[in-house]
Amino acid sequence: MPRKERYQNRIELLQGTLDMLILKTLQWGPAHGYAISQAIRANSGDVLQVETGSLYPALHRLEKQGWLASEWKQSESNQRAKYYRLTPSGKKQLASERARWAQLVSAIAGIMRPEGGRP
Amino acid sequence: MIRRRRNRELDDEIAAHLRMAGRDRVERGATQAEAESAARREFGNEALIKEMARGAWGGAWLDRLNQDLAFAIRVLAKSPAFTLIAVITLALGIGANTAIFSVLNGLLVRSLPFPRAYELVWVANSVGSGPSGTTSQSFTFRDFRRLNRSFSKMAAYNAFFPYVSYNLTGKGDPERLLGVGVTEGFFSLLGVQPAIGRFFLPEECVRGARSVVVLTYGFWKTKLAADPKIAGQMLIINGAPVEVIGVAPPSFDFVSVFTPGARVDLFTPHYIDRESDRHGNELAIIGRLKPGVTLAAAQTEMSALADRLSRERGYTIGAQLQLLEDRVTGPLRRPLLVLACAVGFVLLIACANLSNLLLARAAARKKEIALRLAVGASRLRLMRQMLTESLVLALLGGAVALPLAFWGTRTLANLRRTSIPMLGQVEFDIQAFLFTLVLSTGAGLLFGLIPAWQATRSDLSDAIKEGATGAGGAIHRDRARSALVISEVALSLMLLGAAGLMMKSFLRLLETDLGFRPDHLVMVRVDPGPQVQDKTQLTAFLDQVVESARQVPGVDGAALTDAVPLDRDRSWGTGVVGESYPPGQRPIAFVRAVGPGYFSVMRIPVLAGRTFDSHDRPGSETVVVINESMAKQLFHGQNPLGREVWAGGKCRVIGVVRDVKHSALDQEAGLEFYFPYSQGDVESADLVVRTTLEPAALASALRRKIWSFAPNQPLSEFRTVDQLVETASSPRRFTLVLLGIFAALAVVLASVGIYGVINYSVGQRTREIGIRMALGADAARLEWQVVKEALGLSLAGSMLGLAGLAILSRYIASLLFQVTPTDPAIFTEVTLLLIGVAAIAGYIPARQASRVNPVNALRVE
Repeated sequence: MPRKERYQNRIELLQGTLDMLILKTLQWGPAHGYAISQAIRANSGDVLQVETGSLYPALHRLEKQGWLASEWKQSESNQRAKYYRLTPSGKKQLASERARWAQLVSAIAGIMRPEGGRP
Repeated sequence: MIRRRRNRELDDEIAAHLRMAGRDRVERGATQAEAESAARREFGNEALIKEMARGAWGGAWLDRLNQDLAFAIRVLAKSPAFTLIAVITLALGIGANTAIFSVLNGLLVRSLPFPRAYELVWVANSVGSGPSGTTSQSFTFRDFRRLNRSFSKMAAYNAFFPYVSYNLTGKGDPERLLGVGVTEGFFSLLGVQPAIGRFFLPEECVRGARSVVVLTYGFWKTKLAADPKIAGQMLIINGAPVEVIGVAPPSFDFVSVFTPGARVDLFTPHYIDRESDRHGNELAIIGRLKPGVTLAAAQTEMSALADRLSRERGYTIGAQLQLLEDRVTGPLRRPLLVLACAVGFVLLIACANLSNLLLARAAARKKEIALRLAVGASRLRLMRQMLTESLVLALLGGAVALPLAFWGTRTLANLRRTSIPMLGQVEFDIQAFLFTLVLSTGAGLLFGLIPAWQATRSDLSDAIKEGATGAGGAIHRDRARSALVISEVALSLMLLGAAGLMMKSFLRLLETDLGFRPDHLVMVRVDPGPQVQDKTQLTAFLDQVVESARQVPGVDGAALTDAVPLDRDRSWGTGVVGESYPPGQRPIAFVRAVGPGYFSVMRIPVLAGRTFDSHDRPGSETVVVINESMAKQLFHGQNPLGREVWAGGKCRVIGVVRDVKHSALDQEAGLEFYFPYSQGDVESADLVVRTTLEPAALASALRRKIWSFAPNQPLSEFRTVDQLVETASSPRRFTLVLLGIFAALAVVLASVGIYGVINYSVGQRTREIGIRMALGADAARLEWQVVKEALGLSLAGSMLGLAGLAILSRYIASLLFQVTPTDPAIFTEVTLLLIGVAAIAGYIPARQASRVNPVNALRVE
């Protein structure tokens, strides 16, 4: 039973939002894949769980696009890990995604207004 | 390199992730082992995620192709027997196809080696049969050339050139050359340019002009060591100097186009004048159509012209037009197409075999594939991998086929004593190779696709379970595989049947009564040349030659003839003196001038009267011996002996002999008469010697004797009459041998196919067989059950094949000789043969099955 519950408390990520979340997370500074997934989970109050099957392909895709750069560094717990950080063009991309997201949210909010319907 | 580093980094990255996730769990209080497995579970399918991450890098298809190729090669290397059989099967199919299509392309598709060859037309006289019937007289040619409006050019060559003497001396041993007389403009009509020097000028084509010759490329190369300064040099021919003015190019192979199987050394001008007007039919006429004139229009014009000339001269002149291309390659079309079909069948069978092998493998790998699907391999990826395997197989087959095809084409092109036009010019055809390679690769892909699709579609858990409980059940018979084997058997039976019919025809052909005994006969052309002045001297010289030959130990008899059967031909008009024949109905007979003893040396039976002896001399009564057909047709059952017939002049019939085959084994003899060379117009003759000696041994003995009294007598080319028979039957043998090879190939491939299917089904039932053995089943009965399966397949295939053969054989009916297309004996024999082969192919796995140790069988898997 607890398994099922856990799944019910999670929300599927909207298509394309993972990229934005990764970029946003990296705004605070470089991080490795595990840290990114943990950060998204923690910051969403355990609602958003990033599947590793989506995370790593997304990281590699963003890196290929030039929005992320990576380097191998020692982690705080003395582990070698691959750290991703935002590039300048990644910052620009984050800004434009943020704007698009705001647009999307207000558009959906407009439709979903409780007193909605025709005036 | 970069990719490899990236792959390593990706591995490290994911390892780091797992370590950190595990450590977090340990900190939260889990044990190390729990934490690790939980982290791994949470992470998901590692290989799949890596694969997806790699997918983000781009250029993944190349990566995958590399992987697929490496994988395919590894998999193929792991089952060398399968790979070997598949590659050999394909290589044979592709190789044979390339060789045959190279020939086909060289002979049928590609045009004659002349510019605008489609304009070239053969103008035959078409009055009567044989070479004399298709050639024209000198003034007919002159009138045609002068009066026609359809041709831009017209030229001719002397079709009876082998009778003309060109005795070369002063270059080693004296040698009799073969020269073709060609009229003015012959080379320019064909569009041929000299390799060295020039061709004949108009003023050199007039009687009395300085003697000049053009050499063939082959003669210049072999006999004159390719002397680059040959133009302007003199050769001594017939005892007089003749200037070499040029050399024909290697691309101009007169023989292979006009007289396949013969030899030509040089060209001389053929004069068209009052003198040549007195000759009989001797010219083979060729014309080049004016641009825009069709063959039909030219035929209409030439027919009208021939009719007009016939009326003016009072005897029949014909003009039958045919594209030169059709004349040269027309008779080859059907045999070559039959061969193309046959070799296509072989390729089909090879492809069927390949797909059969692939199907069997796919079935055997079902479990592996199901497992890979279960652990997350994408279906598309798996299919691509299996297709890569088929592709690698096809390419390997192609690689092995390449030298095979090269060798095959070369062998075909270099066949000697074969009267197939332009065969020597056939070259390995890269287009034909690529075509077959693409075809077989396509087939490989297609047939690879079916099992790939089948395998990836199957239910995963079923497939995995099936292996574990293989004995449980139902014998899994694959319909697709059975269908493939049945069609293989059917195709093989059709091929085998066609080959059988051809073989029977060929044997019938060789059994045909030639009318003479060709074995142990050696012949050499004797040509006194200019050293004899008149008929008396000539007769004395020839008699002396025959006498010398008879004195050689080991010689059983010797005689002279100007034309050995199957070697040369000419025909004259004839008739009974005193009878009148309507125009165009005058009988035409083949003519041979022979010496005393000819009939006994050739073993031609004398049916009535006598043959020639030393009393038949110049000045004595002119006499002839006629053949059976001529006696029947001219005298309608009356006794011909003592009667007079036209044979050049009035001649008295003194004997009747059996018919002999004169030009081909599968043609009836026709009318024929013989006259003594002492009474006729003969320049040179063949000395025919019946002997147990080898040609070379006879040659050296004979040369010693004859050169003692005639030192300049060329005695260069000793041939056996058996070789003539071989050449005469060569086009048929060519088809037969190739068809036989293909049929054998088909049977081998089909039996491999049957073996494969039975072996596979036995392998599938190992447990079942083991159980039955353990329960005391009879080995012989088990064997019979397995063999029965093979017999069933081959029987079904044979029925189909017999139906196909009945259709196919009607198409090859015209290639058969004294054999009906539905010869029941052949049909029965090939069916029995195939079923027998199938039984053997089935028996091998059956025996293995019956030797199965029950304990081992039950332990399988």
